[in-house]
Amino acid sequence: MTGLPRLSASIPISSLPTSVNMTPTQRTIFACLIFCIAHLLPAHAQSVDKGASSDAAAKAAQAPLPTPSASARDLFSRYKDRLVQVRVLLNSANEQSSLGSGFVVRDDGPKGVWLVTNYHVVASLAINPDKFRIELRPTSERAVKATLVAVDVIHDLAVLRAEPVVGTASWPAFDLRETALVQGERVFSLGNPLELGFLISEGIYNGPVESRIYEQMLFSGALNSGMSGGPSIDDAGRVVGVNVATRRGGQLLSFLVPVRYTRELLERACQAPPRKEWRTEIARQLIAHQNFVAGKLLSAVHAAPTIETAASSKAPSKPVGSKASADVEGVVSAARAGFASQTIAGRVVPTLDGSLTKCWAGGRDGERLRYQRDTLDCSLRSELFIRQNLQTGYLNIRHMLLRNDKLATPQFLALGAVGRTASSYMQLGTTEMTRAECRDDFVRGTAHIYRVAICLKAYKKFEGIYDFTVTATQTDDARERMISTLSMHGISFENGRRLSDMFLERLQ
Amino acid sequence: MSWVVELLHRDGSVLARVAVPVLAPANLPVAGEEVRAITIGRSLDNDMVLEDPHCAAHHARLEVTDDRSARLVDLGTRNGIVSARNKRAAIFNIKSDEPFRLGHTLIRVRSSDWPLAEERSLSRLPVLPFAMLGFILVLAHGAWQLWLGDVQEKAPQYLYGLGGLALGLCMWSAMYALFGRLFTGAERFFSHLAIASTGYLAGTLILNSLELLAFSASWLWPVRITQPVVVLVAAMTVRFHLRLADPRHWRTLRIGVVVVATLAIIIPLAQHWVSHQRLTDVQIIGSIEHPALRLAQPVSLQAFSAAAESLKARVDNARKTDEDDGDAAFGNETIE
Repeated sequence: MTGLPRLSASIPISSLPTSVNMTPTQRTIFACLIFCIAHLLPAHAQSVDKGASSDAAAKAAQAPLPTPSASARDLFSRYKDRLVQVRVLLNSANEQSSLGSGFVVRDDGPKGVWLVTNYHVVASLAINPDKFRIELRPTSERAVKATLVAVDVIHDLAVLRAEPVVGTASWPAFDLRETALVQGERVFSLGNPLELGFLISEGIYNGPVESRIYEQMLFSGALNSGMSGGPSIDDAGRVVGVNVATRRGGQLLSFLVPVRYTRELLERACQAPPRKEWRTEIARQLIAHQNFVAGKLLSAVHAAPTIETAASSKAPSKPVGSKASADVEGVVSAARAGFASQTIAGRVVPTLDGSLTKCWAGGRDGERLRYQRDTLDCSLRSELFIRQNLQTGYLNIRHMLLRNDKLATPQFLALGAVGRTASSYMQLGTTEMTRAECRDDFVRGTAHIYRVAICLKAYKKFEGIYDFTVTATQTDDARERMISTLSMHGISFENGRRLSDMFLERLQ
Repeated sequence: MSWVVELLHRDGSVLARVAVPVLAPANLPVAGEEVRAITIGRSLDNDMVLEDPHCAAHHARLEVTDDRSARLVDLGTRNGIVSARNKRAAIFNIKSDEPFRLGHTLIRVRSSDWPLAEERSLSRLPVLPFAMLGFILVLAHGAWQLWLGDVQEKAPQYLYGLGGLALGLCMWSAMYALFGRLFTGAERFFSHLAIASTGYLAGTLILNSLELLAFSASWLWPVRITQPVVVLVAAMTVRFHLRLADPRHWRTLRIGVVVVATLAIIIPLAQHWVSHQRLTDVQIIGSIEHPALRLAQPVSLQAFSAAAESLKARVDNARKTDEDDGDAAFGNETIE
């Protein structure tokens, strides 16, 4: 489907390693590592990372940062000691596999120093703790070892604890701002982009980001790869948010995680016993996430019956709102999601609605068909970054309506082979997923008979979450065929089944 | 009557023929002395000279006795005479035209008294019209397939498609015709064309029927067995080709065809089983046919949803079995 934006518009800004001074042997190993990572990345993510790095590199090379204002110069010189570069090193090669920034939030003396960074900076370590280790490089160039003490996959945060270094002065820590920011306030972002050195970048806080399931702040300032996990501070040097992502292709469209999630995670981190294994914790958070997302969809339906409009083709009907449930914290209060009904070429189909979902209608341009084909794609953009090649926790609905105009009936029927949506259910297992298990049958819907196929895959590393694909192909009309697909990523079996039942019930 | 010794090629064709001389009554020697005999061996003074280092200089003698029967006598050799049933004996009474092995050489003894098989009538099957009919039907099917895909404003390249199909079919038949020419001297191109066309049409018919059956009855097995069925149809086609092209070696070729076909069926299944612990990945029916052809009753949504429960157990099981290899991700093992 051309013309559709990628599901994930923003990209994490931890950088893949760039060239450093190395011995030839190291360089060989290193090139291999880059290759391996790039090889594993899905095509779109790869292009994003490459694009981001090259863009950023070009920017860094050609356009020097504007002369810092007096307060920026002042802030940087005052707070640069509290910044670190977070390097996740591969044990076997003793070289970095991902880079980001971090900042000191508390120095407990002999108990260690507490730092905050992004989850996605340390994701590889969280998934494979035995293969990686964390090293911190403050501005003073000494390297400090650190351990992972808490992760928040949903808000993309992680807390690290640095080993206390005997004989050194205590590390100064950032204060966390308590009060909310007002749109238009100046914010300074700190970090170490692309290993070019620590820098400060000035920008403006532009309010909460709309169409995000979990709260994020819009920061109109420059964020680049490697600044992930760095702090964003106000005029007084108090942390207001954590650098997390930037919009590729956008001009100074950057995203911050509000500081209150940092505070909450720190409180949890201080009480939590030390642990070495993070997959069950990540799985637990993924389950909480999908419960929340599915809850929005399910509760929306129970709250109010769908209003079906006989509106003109492709005009969305009145959305069925849902109350943001209060039990999950950190939800944008206006964020809504739910099933809605929409008409596609005169037929009513279930779609996703609410501020979190995006629907796109249309067909392929420049294709001249002798039959009518209308498509409608809706996605609930609630994906979470789990690791380099794995984002999950979102769902898509796709409808394709085929109508016969000028074809003979056998020709139209033979469209079945090409007209069905790309079959993900034939896939074999990957390193992340088990192979798909499927079944299909004829199912009697309210008005039509469908051939429905359900496919299920499990996540190998995270127990209890699955990828669900439901494809319903109308089989009772030789002149018209609706092919509807609901794909749910990273969902529990119960929620997946409930949502698929609901989706099938609402197919007209 | 007369007796003849034939030197056989391994494929059964006759390389040489030596008759036991018939003596006029006047020339008959003293009764009881058996002179109506020929000797076989490597030495040049034999009646039938064998070029076989595994034969003795004088290896065997064929004797015709008074009562008009014949026997083959071993002349005390190292390798002896071995019958078709792999028995070795010093003397064989000739009862049938089964061959004997002398060293590596095959011989056969026949009598002119023995009855011959009936004269076989020529095949009345009109090969040329049949071949042309098959060929045209194959092209018609190709055109139908192209037409089914003709759903855009721009038509597909019918002539290239059909030309390619015709060329492919002719090349296939010509290959067997050449093979036949080499072995039997007869090309029989049109017979091969008829066989190839029939095979193609039979395969198409069977596959379409299986798809239709799967859709109609909502059965999965017909689409699961398509791969072995294709192999079987191909094997049957090749069988007819080979039998026509080289009937003399058919006994050996038959085994080859069976072995190759069996392996072509078993190896993919076995590999799939080794890699994925199941025989097939086909889990759903892909084809959509005309609504009127659906015979299976649709189930209710609740029933379908309940049946989907079993999927969970299956993926959980798969997760347990290969959970451990998940760590190999991220390409780290390249460095280790």
